[in-house]
Amino acid sequence: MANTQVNSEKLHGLTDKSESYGRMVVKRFFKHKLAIVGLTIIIILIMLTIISTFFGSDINRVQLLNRFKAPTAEHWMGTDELGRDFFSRIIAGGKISLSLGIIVSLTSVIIGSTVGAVSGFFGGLVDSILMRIVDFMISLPRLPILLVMAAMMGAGFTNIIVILVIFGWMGVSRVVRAQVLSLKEQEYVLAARAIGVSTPRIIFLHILPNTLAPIIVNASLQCGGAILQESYLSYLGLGIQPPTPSWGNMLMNARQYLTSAPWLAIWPGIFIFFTILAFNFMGDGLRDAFDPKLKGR
Amino acid sequence: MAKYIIKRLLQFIPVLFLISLISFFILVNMPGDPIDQLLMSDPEMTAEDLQELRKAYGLDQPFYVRYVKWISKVLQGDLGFSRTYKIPVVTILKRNMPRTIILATSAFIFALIIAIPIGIYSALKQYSLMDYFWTIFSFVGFSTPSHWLALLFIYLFAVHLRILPAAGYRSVDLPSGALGPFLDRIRYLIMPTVALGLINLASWMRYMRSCMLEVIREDYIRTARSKGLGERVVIFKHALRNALIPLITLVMLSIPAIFGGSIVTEQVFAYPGMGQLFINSITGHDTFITMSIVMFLGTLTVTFNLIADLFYAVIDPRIRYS
Repeated sequence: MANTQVNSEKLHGLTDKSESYGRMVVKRFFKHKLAIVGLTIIIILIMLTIISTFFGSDINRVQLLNRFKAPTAEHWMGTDELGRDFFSRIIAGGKISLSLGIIVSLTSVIIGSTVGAVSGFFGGLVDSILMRIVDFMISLPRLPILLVMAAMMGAGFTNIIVILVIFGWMGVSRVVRAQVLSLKEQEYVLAARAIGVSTPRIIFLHILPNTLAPIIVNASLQCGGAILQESYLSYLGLGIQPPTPSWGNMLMNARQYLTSAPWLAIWPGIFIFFTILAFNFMGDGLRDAFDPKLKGR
Repeated sequence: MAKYIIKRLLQFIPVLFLISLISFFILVNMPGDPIDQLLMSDPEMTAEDLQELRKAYGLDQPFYVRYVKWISKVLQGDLGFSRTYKIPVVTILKRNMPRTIILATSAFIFALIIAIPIGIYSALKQYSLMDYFWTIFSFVGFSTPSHWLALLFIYLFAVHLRILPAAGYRSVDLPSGALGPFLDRIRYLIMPTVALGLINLASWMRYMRSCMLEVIREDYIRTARSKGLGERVVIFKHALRNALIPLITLVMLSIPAIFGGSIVTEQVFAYPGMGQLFINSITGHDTFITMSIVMFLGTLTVTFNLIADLFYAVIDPRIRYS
């Protein structure tokens, strides 16, 4: 008797959770403390860049009498070797780095999931050709080739995005392919095909939405990764070129003034660090939120 | 199994060939060439002189001719002649490559000897205070940009505390004594090693922890415990051995990335290794040096991918390849 009661309670508990998968994910995401920290950091950064676009001072205003001023009330993060306000430049660099990260991750995810979906759905020759390409791209020494390509194409915002996307789509495509391989055998796909739904429609409207979880997690992690790689390229002089500020080229610039003006090296790094940390936290939170196996933990 | 190994070994050559072809294509199409740089040092040169020089160096020939010339030399063991250093590329690599190998190896050992014990500890004490601490540590570790960390180290230990050298790879006048030169090199290696190794330390630690957690929930661990084996034997003989398999695979796959990462680290610490040579050769249009380093790193990547796969296949009888 007691046993059946427990069972019915369990059943009852289950039917109570009739909320949609989407709402469940959102709820679990917001329960993940680190994910909230990450989201907050990113929202603050985006707000700062938006505010500075409208109210910020001129980031390129040179004041040679004000060089290397340590942080004060007027210049929150001090001034650099040309007397430019460093806080404004950090935020302007953030606008570059963040938009670069977001564009790179969105584009690579779109390309990667399309390739993965096509590969998994059609199988056969298409699949083996696409997957050989993926294998090859993954076996390339990444940083050296990135550097050589940056040197060939010429540094600059658009070129860096293109280069990072070229090397950014393979991971997603493998994950999506694996998911599509199992999804395409499911009955609802068969049903869709039976009533005459076109192939692109099946792929993009019926199969891909079900692979969204790993795609979103990947996009979040990749955003941080792209920002880090941009800062490496810019540090080595092959990324965003001064006077356009980016966190990477600000670090490169700071190297020579390390003894006299250490804040020039400290601030850009803190911003890179927290941005990447935020995207990693978010990625982690999203992964947990999407994973039904972790329910209740 | 043998068939699988042979198949993988055969894929090795075309992949390396493609890497060399693509990188050579990129390098040849880079804007500017070494002759332009000569012009900068000697503005008196005429357009005819430049054309003459380009012809002498073979720079006026189409891409495929230059590629075939280069690769046929490389296959005979001749890596070419450096246009900036005026000595054979092999000589330069022989000088700089060991320094990078030393740096990468020490970063590798540093990361591994810390990651494994802490990973095991965190798994055995899951959800303890120390476990949380190391979790945060690893998040911080793989979010820290290594070039920034390097700059912070230089500021703190070289500029401020003056206990470690800021740049270079050894003192100009080596200290005497049997151990003197060795200890001197160690002093120069400490900061680059930590800066280069931290990301791997963080990710290997996390991975060790999760592998260990997975293994200690397995039935054979319960069996080992229930037949009365001591906890030490269960953990180190039964659990650890199985948990190490996936870790070793990850470690092997990260080795090429350590060498790649040393490009950035060497630049910050002005460490005269292969990475610094690489950057200088790109900006100086020294095609043969750049190609040699790209091919070295490419071979390293492909080889370790292969070793990791084969290792997995050999060590784990549950995996079968067709």
